[in-house]
Amino acid sequence: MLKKLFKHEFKTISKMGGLLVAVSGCLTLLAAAYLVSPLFSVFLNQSNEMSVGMTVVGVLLGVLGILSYVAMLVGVSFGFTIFLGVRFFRSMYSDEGYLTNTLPVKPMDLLIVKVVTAAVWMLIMNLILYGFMILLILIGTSRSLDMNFFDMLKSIRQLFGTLVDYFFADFRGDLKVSALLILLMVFVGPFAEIAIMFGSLTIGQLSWKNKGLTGILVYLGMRMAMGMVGGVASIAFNIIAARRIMEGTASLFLANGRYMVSLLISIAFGVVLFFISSHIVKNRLNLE
Amino acid sequence: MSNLIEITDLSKSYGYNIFAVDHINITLPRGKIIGLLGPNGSGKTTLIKMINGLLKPTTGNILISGEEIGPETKARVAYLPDRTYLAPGENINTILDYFEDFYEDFSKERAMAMLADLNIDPTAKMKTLSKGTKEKVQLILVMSRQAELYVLDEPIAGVDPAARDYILRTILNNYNREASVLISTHLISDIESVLDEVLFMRQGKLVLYSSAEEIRQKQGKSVDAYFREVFAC
Repeated sequence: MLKKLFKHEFKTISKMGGLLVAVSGCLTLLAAAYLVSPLFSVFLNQSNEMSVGMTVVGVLLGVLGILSYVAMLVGVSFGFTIFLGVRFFRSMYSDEGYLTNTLPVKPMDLLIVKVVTAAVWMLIMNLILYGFMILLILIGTSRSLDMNFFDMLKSIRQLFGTLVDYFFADFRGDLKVSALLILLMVFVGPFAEIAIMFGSLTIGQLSWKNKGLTGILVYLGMRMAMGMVGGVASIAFNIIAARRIMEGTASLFLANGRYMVSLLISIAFGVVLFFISSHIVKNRLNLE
Repeated sequence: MSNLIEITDLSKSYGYNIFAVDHINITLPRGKIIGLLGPNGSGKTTLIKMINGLLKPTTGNILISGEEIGPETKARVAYLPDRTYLAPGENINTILDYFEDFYEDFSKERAMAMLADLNIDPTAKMKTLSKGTKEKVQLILVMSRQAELYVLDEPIAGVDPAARDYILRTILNNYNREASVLISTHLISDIESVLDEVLFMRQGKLVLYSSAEEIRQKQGKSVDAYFREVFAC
């Protein structure tokens, strides 16, 4: 049953996810076309044949284009997260919940499938959006440096190789911890985030009226609570790090500490909210 | 053969002392078409939701074929709610695949035949269908199962008389004869002829459980007429 649940859930979310990836891909292509066009030369001030007016327009267009593109990526990521929340709420607690909650499956299985599928899709979406952004940065850089794109890729690969060698050869603990934490944030973060969002929406079901709105308020409350716990934990961490601060070697150590605190808090809230959700769906489900 | 549904001291309260279902005890047999009758707000839908695990009882419990409500009972109960529960963006074929995947007793062939009878295009998306057609699609999905219990909440409310006839014919021609059908409605005259037994509910309480024939014999009137007498305002 779990396999079938995954199949249908993934299929449904893929429709919106696929659409957003396609739209982002098209806009990235447009942005890439701009970067390789003569207009971008104006932005780089590489063309001497254009009037001052044209140069200003070119620069304005360039700045606006970059801002719009970044806003689009942020919008896609944010919009997709909202879509995941709305879809979870609809499929579990609105009219569609009458079908979902009468399927011959355990409530825990339902929640596992919902959280894992949404988190995996969020991860995929983030990686694709990062990929698009990096691609554009590379294209833009190659134009700025007036370098062949593929030559530049080769140089970057060599640089990356050197960095990896350095990373593994030189025993720099803080740097390795930083890298690991970033990887964990990228790969584990979406699971915690989704569990927190779905858990909050599920707690909202305990309210008698305006269950959706209550779920949103619970979510905001959770974020505030996480912020407060994070604040307290950071102060504690800073005290622990005092010796390093005096030695003047604390910057990376402190950054790592903050990352770790934030990650651990997210995971802790995610796990607790997941089990609360499971308890509510199993024992306190009350569809209107 | 054992009873199909055993309900013991079942109640559902909203707030202090407001009971939507008020300490009901009842046992329902297999192989019967049972009318769950009562005016609006009498607790019919609340009872049905508890049978389907969509509401948790405040007190008491429900056993279906001796088992508490859970994945096992949900596999045996075919439920038609009083609302559209299918995603508007999905097409009918996808929904058929969904039912086929999750319900072992679902017959896609039977569903396709019923859709063809009604000239409903299986490639159509739910959002393009009229309200009546959506209700027919949902009924087809439910009646294409070989369930032990069919729970139909207001299956004929809000549809035209011709559609009502079709819906009743579909129920009668397709339900598993070993199974029971629990139909909630306040349009009694339309379904009276098919009912074996009736349950009357008022203000969350069970006020009568009898065979339809017994009511007609003892009271000398139809179930519909008797209902009007019992629930006269």
